[in-house]
Amino acid sequence: MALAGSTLRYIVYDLITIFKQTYDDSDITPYQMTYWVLTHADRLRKQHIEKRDTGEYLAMFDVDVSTDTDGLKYITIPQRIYDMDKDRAIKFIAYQKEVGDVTPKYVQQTFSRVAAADAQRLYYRTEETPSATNPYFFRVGDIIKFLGLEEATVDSVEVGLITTLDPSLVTLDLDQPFDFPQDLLPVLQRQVLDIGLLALQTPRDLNNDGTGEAAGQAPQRKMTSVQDFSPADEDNYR
Amino acid sequence: MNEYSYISINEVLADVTVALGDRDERRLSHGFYKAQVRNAMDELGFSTVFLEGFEDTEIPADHKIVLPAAAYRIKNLHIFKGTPDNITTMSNVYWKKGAHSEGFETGFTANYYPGSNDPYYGNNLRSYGESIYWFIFHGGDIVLSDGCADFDYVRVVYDGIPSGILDEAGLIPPEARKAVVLWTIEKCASFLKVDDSKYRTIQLDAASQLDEYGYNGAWQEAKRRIKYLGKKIRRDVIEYNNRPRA
Repeated sequence: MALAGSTLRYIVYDLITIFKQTYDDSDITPYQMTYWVLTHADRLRKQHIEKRDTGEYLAMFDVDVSTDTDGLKYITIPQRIYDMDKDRAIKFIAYQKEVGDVTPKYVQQTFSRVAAADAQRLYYRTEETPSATNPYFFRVGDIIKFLGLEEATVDSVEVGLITTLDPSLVTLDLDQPFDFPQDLLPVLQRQVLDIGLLALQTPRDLNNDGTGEAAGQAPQRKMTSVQDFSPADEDNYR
Repeated sequence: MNEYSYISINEVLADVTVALGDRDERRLSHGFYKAQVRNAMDELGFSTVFLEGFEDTEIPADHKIVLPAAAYRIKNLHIFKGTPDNITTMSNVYWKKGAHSEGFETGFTANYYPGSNDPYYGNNLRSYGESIYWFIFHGGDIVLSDGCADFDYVRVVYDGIPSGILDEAGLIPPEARKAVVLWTIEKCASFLKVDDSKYRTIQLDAASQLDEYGYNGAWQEAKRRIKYLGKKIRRDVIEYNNRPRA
């Protein structure tokens, strides 16, 4: 979470003001503008994160571990995360290996990532076989399952996630600092203006320019397909 | 240097993962890296035989001894009376060429057979008769001759496979660190290049520094260092070889 910076309210109302200056009839609600901003900001934010190796957008959670009917331990992802290549939005998963060890979990025992379809290969040799000292995780939608912990007692794990902005979050507080790279605000502004311009664009002859002239007529002539050509209509094609 | 001076797999991986740009071990798993380091040590072990091990086994009734799991080649075979911590008498056991046996008191076949009248294979051990102790390999096991029944234990001294003897906390002799690091980088890069061609460059760089099949790289340097005898041993060997045998 950014320490300071523009709030979402500032960005949203700035954009609405810009549109009002250009199109005084524009009727874009703050709610709609917030949705546009969050949608585009989320995409830009993901691209930004993929380019830079920083901890700015890392969120850490302690999550309780459950056991499924097959005996596999699993957790539910606590917040929506980006769908990055090789599940890179899951930066790490770790658990406390030794009771009483005061070092952080993420330097005690971390999990290796594997795709569910690739997991069988792990059992081909001893060094890679999943175990409590060499555990793996794989993602199935919003569930993360673990291999190697079948016999171990693990109540909770620590996860480091790259979470998304959520455009559908209706309880969003517009006055909180906006968790978005400040240096990309001009790009975000430009992209939202583009979508707004497209939405507000209308045919020129339908503009209300205040002259009182009637709007242009739609074409009256019947359109005839070339496939329907018959000699009786020949004159129409001369 | 004893085995406690050896360095761990993780110390090697601290270099390897940085060289491969895989600090979070997301491209290859930790277990995969560990397996490659063990492979490197085994390859070096086959070339230099730097680990000697031995295992004492009570001579079983059928005279068949299972080869120790970590043994690569047998270096010596001794039989002795008493117990491993109180050996009273011992004898060498020799490999008998071309002999085959199923075990104790099952007899054996061989080109050279005691008392044989074979016109082509004279019995050059005849003067020792049955008193000589010998062994053969059968189905991967060591089979001792009947005469070995006079003894209690057999001690198999062998050249060991490093990954079978040493644990990951101390597997790599420091003089081989550079070679093992380069070997692991080279192998891992060769696996990674299928997804990303930049690893081809890393692989070639590591291979040229390693020069595994040549004489101008870290691999040859490690072999030379490991095989090099300490001054004391070298001096004693020279002394021993210069003395007339009694």
